[in-house]
Amino acid sequence: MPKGYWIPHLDVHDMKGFQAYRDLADAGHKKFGSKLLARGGRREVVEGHMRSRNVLREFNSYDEALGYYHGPDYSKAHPLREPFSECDFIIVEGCDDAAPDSGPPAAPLKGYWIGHLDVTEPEGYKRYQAAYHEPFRKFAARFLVRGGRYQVREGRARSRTVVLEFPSYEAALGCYRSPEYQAALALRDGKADIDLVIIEGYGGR
Amino acid sequence: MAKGYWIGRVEVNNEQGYKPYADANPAIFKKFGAKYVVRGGKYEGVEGQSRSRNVVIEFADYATAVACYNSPEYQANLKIRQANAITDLLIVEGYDGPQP
Repeated sequence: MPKGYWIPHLDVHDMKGFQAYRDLADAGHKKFGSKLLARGGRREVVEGHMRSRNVLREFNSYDEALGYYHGPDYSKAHPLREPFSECDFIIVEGCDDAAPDSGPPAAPLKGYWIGHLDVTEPEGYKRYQAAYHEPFRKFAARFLVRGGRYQVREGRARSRTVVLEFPSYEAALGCYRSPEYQAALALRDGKADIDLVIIEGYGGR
Repeated sequence: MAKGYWIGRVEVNNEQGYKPYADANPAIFKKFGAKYVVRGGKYEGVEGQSRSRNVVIEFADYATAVACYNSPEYQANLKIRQANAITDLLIVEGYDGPQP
């Protein structure tokens, strides 16, 4: 559902008098859970005319944004603002179609583990294999390559190659660093020689 | 880091002339990682003046919001808009402090 926004543009001519309004209005905002997106930051009027204070507040919905404005809480605050400022104020519905690109949103880049290994103690290595499933499941890893056919066409390679895909590079790193995987890793120690890289996928950008 | 926003209000005088401007914007905004927050939704001008189209566009930060406006691509596109619409456009830095 689209969010709702308050966009008041204000000229305040008595800041001291204005403060009482602000305190009361902010209490109401707290109640409605609105989120302040812009207030009092740097600004530049690049075209046309704008008043000197510009505020952008986000509500969960257009109806809530209207509801607070027209409701009893804000009706008490509103008269406190009028004597101290001029205001252009709109309440507007948000845009659900957030990406300016008409295509689908860019998928986050995936993350990968690429491991080359020689198992030196098969019995001990099996205990490691039994232990890595839990962290791999937790971090939504998927085996892309695991013990398939292979050909070494150039250079040299170890006897096993594994490629694991994660939803993101961060997940790929997070899995490796997790206590669960580190516990499994301890079981692999001395049972295999391994080269492992963690790498971010290619986004074609 | 605080985000940056464009806050625009627009009165289009010539819909047909305005359309090429709107069509060219997504490619420019995409380059600067912009996101439409408000674009042609329902609205209510509860006080003072308002124009019939309201747009809020979010950028990663204030500098990016300014850079997009100043870019040669946007400056070229802008001329099409200005010939066909009246606009108030503000670039503003987002709020980064504690929320209520």
